[in-house]
Amino acid sequence: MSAIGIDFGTCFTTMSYMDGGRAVPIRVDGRVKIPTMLYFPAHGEPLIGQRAYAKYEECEGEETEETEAILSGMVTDLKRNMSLNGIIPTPQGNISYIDAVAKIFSYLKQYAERHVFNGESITKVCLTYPVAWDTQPEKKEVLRQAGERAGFADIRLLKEPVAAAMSCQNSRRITNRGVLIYDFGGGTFDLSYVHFDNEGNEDFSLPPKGDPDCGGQDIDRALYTYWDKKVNDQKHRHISQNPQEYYIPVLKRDCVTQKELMSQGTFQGINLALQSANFDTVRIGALSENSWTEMIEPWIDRTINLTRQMLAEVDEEAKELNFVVDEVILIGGSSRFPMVADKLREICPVAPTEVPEVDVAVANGAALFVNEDIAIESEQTWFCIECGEKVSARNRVCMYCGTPNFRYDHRYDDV
Amino acid sequence: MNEVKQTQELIDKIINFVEHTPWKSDYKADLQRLRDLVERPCDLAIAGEVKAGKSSFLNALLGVDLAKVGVTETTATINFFRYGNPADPDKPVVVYWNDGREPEEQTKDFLDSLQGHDEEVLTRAEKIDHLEYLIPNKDLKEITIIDTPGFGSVEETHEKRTADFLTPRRDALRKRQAEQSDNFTNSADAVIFLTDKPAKADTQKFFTEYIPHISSSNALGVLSKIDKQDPQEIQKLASSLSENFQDKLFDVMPVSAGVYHAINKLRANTDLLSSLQEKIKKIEKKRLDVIGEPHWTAGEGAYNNMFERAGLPLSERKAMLESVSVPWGVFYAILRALYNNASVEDAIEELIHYSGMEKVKAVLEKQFFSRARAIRCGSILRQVKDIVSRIKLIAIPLQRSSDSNRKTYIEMIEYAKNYFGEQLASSFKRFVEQNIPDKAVVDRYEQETDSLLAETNQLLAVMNKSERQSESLRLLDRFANLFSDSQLLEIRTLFGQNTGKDISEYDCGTRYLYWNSKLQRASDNDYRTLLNYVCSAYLDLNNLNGNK
Repeated sequence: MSAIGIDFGTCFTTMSYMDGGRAVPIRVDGRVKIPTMLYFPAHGEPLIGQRAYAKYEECEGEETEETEAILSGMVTDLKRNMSLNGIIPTPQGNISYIDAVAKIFSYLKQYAERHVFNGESITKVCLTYPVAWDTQPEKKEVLRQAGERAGFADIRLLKEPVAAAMSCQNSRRITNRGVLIYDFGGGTFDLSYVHFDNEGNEDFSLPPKGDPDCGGQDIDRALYTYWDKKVNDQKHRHISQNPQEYYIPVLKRDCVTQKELMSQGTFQGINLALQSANFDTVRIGALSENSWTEMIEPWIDRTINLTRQMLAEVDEEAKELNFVVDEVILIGGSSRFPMVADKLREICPVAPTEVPEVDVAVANGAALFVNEDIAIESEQTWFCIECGEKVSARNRVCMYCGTPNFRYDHRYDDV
Repeated sequence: MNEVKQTQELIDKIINFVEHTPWKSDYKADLQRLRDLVERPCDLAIAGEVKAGKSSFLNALLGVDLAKVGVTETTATINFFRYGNPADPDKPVVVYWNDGREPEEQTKDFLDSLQGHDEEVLTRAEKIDHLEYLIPNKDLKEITIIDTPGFGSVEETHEKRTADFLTPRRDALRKRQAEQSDNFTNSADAVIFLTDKPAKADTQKFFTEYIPHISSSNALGVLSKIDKQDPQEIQKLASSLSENFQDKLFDVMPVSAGVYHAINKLRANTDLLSSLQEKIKKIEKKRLDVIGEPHWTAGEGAYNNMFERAGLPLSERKAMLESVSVPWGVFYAILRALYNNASVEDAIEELIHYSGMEKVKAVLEKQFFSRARAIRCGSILRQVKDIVSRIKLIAIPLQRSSDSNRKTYIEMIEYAKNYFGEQLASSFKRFVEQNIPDKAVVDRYEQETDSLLAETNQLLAVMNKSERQSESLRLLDRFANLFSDSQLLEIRTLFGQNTGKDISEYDCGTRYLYWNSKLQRASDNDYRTLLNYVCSAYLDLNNLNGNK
């Protein structure tokens, strides 16, 4: 009986399954993150996920009509705007939100069935949702109906922070813990506090906080603005032909790549292709770490301020019950910025737990949750072949003698 | 109106619910405070030059003769008009002092002492923050009128005075009042700028100089005393001013407060009006076109004979003019309307339309106040939603965890019954049963909370839409130069402005796709917000159409 967990996000969707005793993300066309979007051409089948995202590359022509035609076929922002009876216009006519989301789920389901489960049909799925939807039950219903329409027979819904906590603990039950989940994603920032009692039930949670307009995409835009100014200084023109507009290929490709490189500590220059410049490129020197920090700090500060408020609320409301923050979990691609962990360390009562799989923690948790009949393989340890000391899958080399660890699990590559 | 009522009803429902729960003391006070806030009347500020007809305008707006009620046009104070009845009819005004003293009721004589420009008046005026009048007019239940002192001091309209030792104090007083007025016009839900100048250059000067750059979503320009001028000229002037000051004023509307007020007083007197109509129709049109006040009150001559033949002797004519007690221009407008219409009702309708007051009231209500109320209700509702969310996410789960103790408590009481006696044990058991709800009760609480939350979310969605509209219009003013004329027309129509086009002329689906592609490319944050609103508005319309 195969079951998967799907994290339906604002910008990216991820899905995981249980491989043996551990939750593993499924890569679609080589990537774990599948853009939550569809592209409807004037006629024909819609493109989903990365294939839709790739259409952004085609927005480089001189003709605005071409770009307009492509952009008008893009359907994004599903999670933000979805409603039970809502419909979205597309070049092929109206489509309901439920159908749009169902198309994405269907695409994921078929891919997983073909490439992971050898054609076996997936009937069970766990879909995750943000805590805020507990007070907006309509959205949960959209998710459920989309799942049904995609062909899943058994659908479970699970709160995102709970899924993240499960993945972190590598367990289906979290007991006696108050967890603060800091989810800094591509489009939104979500912060929640959940407390579990000694039977693993959620017995307390605070109204979630967040910023629906604070995410990785905003940092992409900040980087674009910075480059635009540099280009203007050098060539007296903007990256795009129209100063009020973005040049889409740069925004959606170069900005994203550079942002990811810089957040991993790699600062390098870039050759930017300007719009309609006859293949001329402009060389932009690498950003200094200071400039980069200046650029991202305002956004990160927004999240830190909300975290501070939340911690104060936990103190106030949970005090009488002796609930505290036992663990702070970071998830979401944008939580990778080292600044995030540094700043959180200053204000949180415990050091944040950095999960290696920030992009897929929620999906992993969902997979763990839904595959109840599969036993979880606890973190295995082996012994170093050289010195015989214990060595875990997380270590590249033995901590005692330095010999390479042949049992190293490459899932921890990102850390 | 609707939003206010709906919000009140919803809050009442929630208060009712909380009343019977263990969390009454936590949330009831806050909910009641929010409920009271919903009913607060909107603020309408009226600003204009001295002698521009503000009092007649207020008379017409409120349907009372303010002078009779005790209001005098003092040059030196800001006046508030609220709903109510003065406790003592001889003390129609409440004075609010600058130094925080208790406000006190004052007599008409006090008001008279505020007229004039000498030092005594100045000293008195300096100590006053504002005056408040209570008028029992039902319209004031919904709005509070703030009458700011006229722009341009009386000195400027008289001959030039030489500066004297009082000038610095006068200047200081004027400055303070100007600041107060500015604060009101900036924070009021609607502002009316009144001018009576017939010449285009003068009105342009007035609007340019005296109107701060506030957004067009709450300011209205009014040309008063139009009964003195040619109707067509006035309409042209109003339209051209409206266009020129699009970014500062929602519209410029011509108004004859005198005609409106007079016709409302007279309309009950149908006999007088029908007999007047009958007689006036006997006069030749070309004669009627040229009569002025001297002709009407002439004791002899060709015109007098003409009137007498029609059955209007001098004594009757004079009596009529006096009893109506309006300026000649207003009376003449009434005569013409009676002449040009078949019945008295038609004439009255034409006069009301000509006076423009109904249009002004409609704009105030539809464009300004309903939006202001929606914004206020939206902010109140958000706070209400927060309270209900807390009940659902904090109070109820906590209650559930304590309910598991309920059974144990009852067991403990049973166990100790023998020691403490049957009666004490039973009464304690009753106490526990009553004050700690069991699971079924808490489940019911949760259900009710869920349904209240759903209602709140729904109402909030409606409010958000209104707020979006007014915010969009503000942004549109800023970015107007980025749009073509046809695009501007489209967006204004989309957001409910009176452009002459109807939104059904645009295909929601296609327009959404067009604007969405622009939105994805927009680089400026505020520009993006504006385009986002446009797209959301089209999405909503599309949803409405699609689900018909």
